[in-house]
This record gives sequence, structure tokens and C-alpha cells, in this order.
Amino acid sequence: MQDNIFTIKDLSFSYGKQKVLDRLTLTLREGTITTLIGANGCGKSTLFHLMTKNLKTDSGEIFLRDKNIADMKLKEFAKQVAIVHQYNTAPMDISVEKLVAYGRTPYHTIGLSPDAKQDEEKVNWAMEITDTLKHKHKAVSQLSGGQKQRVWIAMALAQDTKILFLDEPTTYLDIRYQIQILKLIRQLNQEYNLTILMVLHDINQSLYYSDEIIAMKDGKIIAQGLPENIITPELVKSIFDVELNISTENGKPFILPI
Amino acid sequence: MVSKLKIILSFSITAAALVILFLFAVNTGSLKVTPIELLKGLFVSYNENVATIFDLRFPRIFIAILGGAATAVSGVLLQAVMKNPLADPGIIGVSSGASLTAVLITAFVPALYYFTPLFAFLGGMLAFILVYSLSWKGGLSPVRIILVGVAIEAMLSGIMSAFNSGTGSNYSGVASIVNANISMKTWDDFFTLLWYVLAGLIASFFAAGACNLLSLEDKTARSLGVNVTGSRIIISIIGVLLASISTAIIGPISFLGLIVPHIARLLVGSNHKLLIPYSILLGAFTLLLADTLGRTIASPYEISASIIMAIVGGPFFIILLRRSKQKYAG
Repeated sequence: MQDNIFTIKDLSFSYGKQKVLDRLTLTLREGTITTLIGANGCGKSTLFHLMTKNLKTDSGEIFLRDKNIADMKLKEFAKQVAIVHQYNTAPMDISVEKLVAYGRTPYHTIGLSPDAKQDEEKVNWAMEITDTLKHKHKAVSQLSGGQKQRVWIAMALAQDTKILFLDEPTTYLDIRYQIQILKLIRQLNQEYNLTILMVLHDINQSLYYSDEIIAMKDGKIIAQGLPENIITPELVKSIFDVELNISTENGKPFILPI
Repeated sequence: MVSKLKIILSFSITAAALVILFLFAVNTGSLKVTPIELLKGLFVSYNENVATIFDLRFPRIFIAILGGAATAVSGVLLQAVMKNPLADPGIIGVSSGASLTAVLITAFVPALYYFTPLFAFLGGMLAFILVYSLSWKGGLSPVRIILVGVAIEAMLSGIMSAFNSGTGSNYSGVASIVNANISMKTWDDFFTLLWYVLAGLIASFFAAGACNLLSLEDKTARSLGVNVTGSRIIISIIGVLLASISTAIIGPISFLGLIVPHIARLLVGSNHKLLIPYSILLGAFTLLLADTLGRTIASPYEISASIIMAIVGGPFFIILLRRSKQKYAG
């Protein structure tokens, strides 16, 4: 039995009068890849932003291990949770190495590093594992979409956290890069025991690459568990409001999206 | 990307150009001295010509250097905060807010003359907050900031000109701020400027890293543990301070805070740890050049540096506005 690393209790959130999350309760287990799925507007992005301290809860609590994240400073949080956001921009002329080095920011005080050697080691490790080391002197703006995404992941890895959040990491990428990124995420989970939470758009990729699926609808969680245990035609119908057949591929459920 | 060689060359050529321009500026006017006479006159023995130059030309030259550096760095900082390469303390009304308060203090409470820079800072801050909040609509659109800024700027400088004309331009202190005239400045003005500018520039060095992080998306910067709002406020304060102080002494100079950072980015790149020091050099050079040209072109009459900057800066701003879409990549 793995420990719970994130615990959410009775979380509610509204934009103005519109209730987006309604007394949501959830736990994430350490060392797993968990994926949030749901139709557009189901509240998964809102949940993601609440869990990453980009939004403040209306009521309810989010605990990282036994600490309420509302009581954690951004810096302290950044040493434990790294986040790759969906949309990123960088100056035209910044090099891969410089950008990845920004991942060390949480460890710096007024811009000064207490341990430059450790910074360098972590940055190199992050570039190596994401296969971006060979581009380290190139400008990020010169790279392809898939390479850029790996650089942003490298920046998050340089934060040296045990938890990694990714918001739609494969959006904007073609299929070859999508698979590269998902395999990298799987590798980070297996070799470095990172706990990963992501939001994915593609339901089949979610089912194939996750240990645990959290299905959301109308601000509530309607199913959570192993992909093969929870995915049924009824659940798919309930989430996406379409009737689709489910088959099996390599022992994992597979939905024919036509 | 910008090569190391280009960066080193940019710094050394600009520094050398500034020294040469300085010597030229010292010698521009009715009195002439050779560099050797100048050095002798300054450090060895009394020379009447050198003494006159020291009292009359040196203050304005050093004031142009400080004012140019301060305005350029202010541009860099405000651009970082607003994520907008078109932000310029002159265009968005910070300078006119500062000069309007400086004018009012000079005219109505001359006893507080010594504190004019502080009041100018308050005025600049007010104008900045006004522009920032009026252009906020769920986010900051670069063009909206400029439009709102231009409107605020026009109104504030209108009030200022009205005040100047309505009082028959009788307050010479007021007129010199309104017309951005730096010809009658003294060593006292220089020292007033010096301490504030020095403090602002030192603070800007410490803010360079935060400026770099603000060039990422806000969410991304926050995920790195950066307090984005807090950084924005601190950097804005430093930027507005630098522009306001310089405005309080030399009057509003438009486009300098726009042109210098832009050229600086082309030469040394967008890393603020290099961009800020280089903008200091290039800003100092540019304003001294504008002032020296203004003294030379129509000699013995003088064209003020701010007019030169406006004539050169206007077209430059239009070019930037047309190219502004291509600034950042994903």
C-alpha cells in the first residue's frame, strides 16, 4: 500500500456565481501516474490550478502530505512540486541551458545560489534525461515543438522535486512527439519514482500511460481507479455523452473514438 | 543568440564612444580647450577657461549622462513588468505625471524645492498606477497600455503647458521642466540627481534576475516559486523612481526609454543581467549625444535634447509598433 501524497477534502470553487468544483474529495498515491480526464468545462483545469496554487480555494483543503498547501510559501511548494504548464513563452534568444537553469530558482535567495555546483549537476541531469543536452547552447526558439516541450519538462525536473504536474503536455504536438513525451513521463515515474499528475485530452493515451484515472464531470469526481477497472461504456457515455465501444490493446482498455 | 564576442565588443565600443563624446561635449561651445589643458586645468593648476567649463558645461554633461542612464533603465524595467517592448516612461505618462507634480511644487510650495524629486516620484507612481489599472481588462494588452498611456500623457502634459502659459511662463523653474531644458543646470542639480539615480540603478541590478523570470508566463514563474505580483510591484517602483527623478531635474524625455533598450536587446540580448548595465551605457551616450547635437546644430541657439529625441524617436516608435508581433516565441 502506497502513501497518500496529496489529499483533497471537500474542495469547492466558483468563478463568480458559477460553481465549478463542488465539495470534491480526492487522494493521490505516491509513486503513481494519475491522469485527470473529463469533457471540456468539467473543472479539471480548475482543479489543476487549485492544486498548483494558481487559484485559491473557496472552501475545503488541499494537503501535500500533512501540510495544507494554502499555508506553504510558493518557494517551499516549488521545492516539492514542479509544474509544466500547457502554454509557455520564453525570450527569443534564451539558450536551452539558461532556461533549464531557471528551474533552480526556488533554491536561490535574492537571485543568488547557495550551491552553484549542485545547480549545475541538477541542470545537466535534467537535460540529459530529457535528451536536450545536445541542444544546450541552442536558442529555445529554434527548436521543434517536441524539443521545446522536453526543455520545459527539463526546467521542471531541475527543480528536483518528487512530484511533477503536467497540464496537457502533448497538446500542440504531432503524434510522434506525443508518444516521446508520454514515454519520457513513464520513464520518470519508473526510474526516478516521481509521482505524476497530468491532465490529458486523449482518452486512450490516458488509459495506456496511467496507473490511475480520475474521471470528472460537472465539478465532481465520478470514478477513480485503475484504467482497466473503471472504464466501461457507461462511464464513457456519462463523461463525454457519446456511445463508444471499448476493446483491449496490450491488456489495457482502448476506446475506438469513432 | 548573441555571441560573447558581440557582447564584449558592444560594451567596449559604447564605453569608448561615451568617453570620446564626453571630450567632444566638453569642447563644444565658445570656449575651447585641448584635452591636455583640460586635465591640467582640472587636476594640476588653475586655468580660467577650464574653470568656466567646469562650472557651466560639466554639470549639464553629467546630468545628461545620469538622466540618459536612468531613463533607459526605467524603460527596461517597465517593459519587463508590462511584458511590452513598447512601454516607455515618456509615452505612458510616467514622466508627465512626475513633471506635473514637479511643476506644481516648484510653483506653489517653493519651500519644498529640495524634495521635488520625491514629489515627482509620487506623481510618476500615480500616473503609472492610473495607466496600469485603466488598461487592465482581465489581462494587459500591449496596445491598450499604449493607448491609455498616450491619453494620460496628453492630458497631463496639457495641464502642464496650460499652467506654464497661464502664468505667462513667469516661473523660470517651471518653464525649464516643461521644456526639458538642461542648459542652466548646476552642480547642486547634479548631486540631487546623483544619489537617487545611483540608488535606483543599484536596485535595478538586484532586480535583473526577477526581470528575467517575468519574461516567462506568469503561471510558469509562479511554479518556480516567484511571487509574480510582488516582483512586479518592486520592479515598477524602481522603474518609476528612475524616470521620475530624471524628469524632476531635466524634464520629460520621450522615446529614450524605448529606443535604447530596443537597440540594447539587439546588441547584448534579452538577459537583464547584461541588458541593464548596457542600457546604462547606451542611455548615457544617447542623451549626451542628443544634448550635444542640440547645442551644435543651430549654434549659437540651442535645441533641447528632448526635442531631438522626439524627432528621432517618433519614426523609430512607429517602426517598432509595426514589428511588435514578432517579439516572443513559444
